[in-house]
Amino acid sequence: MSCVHWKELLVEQLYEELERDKALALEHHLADCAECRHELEQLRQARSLLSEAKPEVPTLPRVVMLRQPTFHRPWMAFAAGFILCALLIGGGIATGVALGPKLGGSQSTTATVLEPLPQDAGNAQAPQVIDGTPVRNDFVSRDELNKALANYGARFDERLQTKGNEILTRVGQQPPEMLLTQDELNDALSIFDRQLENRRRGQIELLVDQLVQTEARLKAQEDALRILVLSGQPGVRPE
Amino acid sequence: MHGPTDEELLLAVRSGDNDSFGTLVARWERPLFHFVYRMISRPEDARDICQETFLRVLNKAHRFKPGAKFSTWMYQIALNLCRDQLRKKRRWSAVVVERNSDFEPEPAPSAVLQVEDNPAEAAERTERRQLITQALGEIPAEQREVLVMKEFEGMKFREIAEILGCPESTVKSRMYYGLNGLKAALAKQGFTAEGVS
Repeated sequence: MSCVHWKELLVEQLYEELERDKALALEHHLADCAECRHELEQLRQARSLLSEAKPEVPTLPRVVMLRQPTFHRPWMAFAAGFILCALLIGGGIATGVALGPKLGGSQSTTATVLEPLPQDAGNAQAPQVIDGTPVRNDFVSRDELNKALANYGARFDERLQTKGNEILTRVGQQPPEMLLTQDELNDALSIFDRQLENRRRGQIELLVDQLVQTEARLKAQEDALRILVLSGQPGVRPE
Repeated sequence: MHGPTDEELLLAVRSGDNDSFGTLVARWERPLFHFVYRMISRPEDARDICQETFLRVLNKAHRFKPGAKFSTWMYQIALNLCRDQLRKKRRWSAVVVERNSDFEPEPAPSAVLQVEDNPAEAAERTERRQLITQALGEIPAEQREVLVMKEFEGMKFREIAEILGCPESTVKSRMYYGLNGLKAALAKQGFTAEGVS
């Protein structure tokens, strides 16, 4: 048997992973081989030294997992969706208009589909059916689209304008000495800070609740779930 | 083991069950943290690597091969991250000097008793440990990994071979040369099993 093979067995013997028959074979070999006996002793000493360096592991940090933040403002989502649709439709029209002449003028499918229907076509309650296929008559015309966008923008601008005017009026009416003093500014900022702190505390309470519930569900305090922090990790999708 | 196996939980994670992922984290975070910490010896880095390992488990759950063992796969991910970290920062030898300054380890009950009986002996033990850790940093990384997994983590040779993706005989060979290398590195410093000469 080669030396390398005995070395493997010596290592297995050192960690008590040697099978019974191999252990017997090694025992017989060691009885005759001083070199291998010496090797085993050296390995035992090295293992003993190594075990002294076993690091004490620090307390396991708690890890917290949060879901990805969701869109908390439905009206913003709606507005974003509306604008996106408008842009897509507008883009479609623009493409149709741009490519129309090249593709044969008014024969372009995109441009034709998006053309407004005559006013009298809107009277039909049921969709028209041509060759068994219903024809939709509820497309928004380009004018209607522009009008809706302008109206939305105007309302938004109007609110901004109103707010701005309010502030300007208030500032304009105050003589310079009536504007905020440094102390008033500091007070206002401290109120703001307190509000932020309250909000943060609320979030922490929410997290603690979540942890407690998780621990209760798993029924294993010592192995309680340290939920992983995912919120700061872009691209993570728990779904 | 009570409840679903790790592999069953991972299959559930693949189909979108976040609770199963939570259970896997709860089950493995402690062993994984021990494993990683003993590989790189820095609590902050160990924490980051554990987190990254779980994130990769989550993101790459679909790549887990049916029939494979979850823990082996998870340790492979963690080990690769440890290697990247050590390669990037080349910190292993620096660890010896730094490790006692940046954290207070959770003392084992026996350690507390030992420290209380004789401060001089405790100081000597600390010095020995630092010398041994330093010597550990001088042997080739592939041997050091095996030594850490076997001696500190108590893994079987078969498990280590699965994680490293090599034959068991290679693991034993690395163990053999690693232990001898450690002893030689210590001998160069005049250090023996009995103490510093």
